Amino acid sequence: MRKTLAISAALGVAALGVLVPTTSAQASTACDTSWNSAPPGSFYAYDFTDCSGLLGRTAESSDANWGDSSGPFQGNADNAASSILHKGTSGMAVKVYQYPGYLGGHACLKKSESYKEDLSRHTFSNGAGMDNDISSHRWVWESACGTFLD
Amino acid sequence: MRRAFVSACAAALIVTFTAAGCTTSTSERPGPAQPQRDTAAKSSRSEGRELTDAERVLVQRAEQLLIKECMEGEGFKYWVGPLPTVDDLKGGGYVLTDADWAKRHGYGSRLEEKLQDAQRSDPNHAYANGLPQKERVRYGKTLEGGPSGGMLTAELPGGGTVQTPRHSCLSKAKEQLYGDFETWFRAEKTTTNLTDLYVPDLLEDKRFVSALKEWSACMREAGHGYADPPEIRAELPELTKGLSPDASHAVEVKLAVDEAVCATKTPLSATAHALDEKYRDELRATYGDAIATYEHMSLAALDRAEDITGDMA
Repeated sequence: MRKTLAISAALGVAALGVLVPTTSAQASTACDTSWNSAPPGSFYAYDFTDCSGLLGRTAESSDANWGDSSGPFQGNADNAASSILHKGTSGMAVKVYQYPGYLGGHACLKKSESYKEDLSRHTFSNGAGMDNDISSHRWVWESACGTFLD
Repeated sequence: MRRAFVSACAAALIVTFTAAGCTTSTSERPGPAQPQRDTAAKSSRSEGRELTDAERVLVQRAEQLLIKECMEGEGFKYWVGPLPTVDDLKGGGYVLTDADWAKRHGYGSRLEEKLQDAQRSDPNHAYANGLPQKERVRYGKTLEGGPSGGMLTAELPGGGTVQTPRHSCLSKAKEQLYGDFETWFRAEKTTTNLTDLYVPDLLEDKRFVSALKEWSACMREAGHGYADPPEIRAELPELTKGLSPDASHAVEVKLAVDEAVCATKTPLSATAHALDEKYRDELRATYGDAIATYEHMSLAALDRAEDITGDMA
């Protein structure tokens, strides 16, 4: 990271946020395999990191409460996910929320962002950690990600 | 001439990210491609501006057309869409501030159902899932790419990273629209994740807290006892439980309109927008280059999108 920034500075190029060398990207082999075999348009959540321990999956349904007995994610899926995967087809993103009812902190996995293999490295919009803390999800238009007001 | 100018600026942006001379032709654009200009759009600034919702939809349509062209070139069928309307892109913020939108859509439950239907009935899903296994895998890799083609990684401002495949029909479409996929990906990831850094502080800002109290008092006068807008969203399922679709919609609309009216009648809307802008501006010291790049590349993409949708639609 530091090296890339130094190169940027040397070239007289303003740093775009933080550039991370591709070599530091720890792509998950297990998640790659899951992604390759997932049906297009689907969203998966896993109990453990690296896309292991499937909690639930869906290709079409939102779920306002991962802790109840309806929808694609039920009971033990609530506050349990440690990795998630999204294989998009349309232009929509999957938005996950900290609380049931699409409330609390949120985060998006847009089309072609494939997966988050370790949610302990990620936070919701309100700063809370995402690991073992997702309680609802829905599909949203991509531009609904990352705004405080309309 | 305009196209050449824009291309030159886009190229310059990749190098410098500042390109002060590239803003004027794009910030006051003639109207044919933006008949639905969003009145709430951020005003043009000398350093660029965000796209209006109508413009976002246009760019999205162009992206879909480019993806379709790419997928068909690889031997697959591809259907454009689904695409949002301008109304679809509203209603997801902290508080409703547009009473007209609220009157039409309440809190957007019906729009939400429509979106789920669109996701469910996307013909691309049925097509891709009907392909033989080997072709289905090739379809996914062609559309979205895969790790074997190399991954781009962007670090998010609030922590964590996002990865995306370097080569795919999607990345090719974005390259055609934005001029440089890698630069766009990083700028977009930074700019659209800044809320993570400041919204928690904004919600505790005493000016916001004070405005929220006035909004809450206004709501109480209208017959609703809520401390803040999220409380309404949390209670809405209970309030509409067991009601007919029409009755449920009526409950939603009444609350939503009162929420929006109270937001504009009290200082809440103005304060929230002002603080949103203030907190974002403060982040420009750290992320200004990414924001400027995002805004300029978005405007350049809009120019291309107008040509693309005109030629390919």
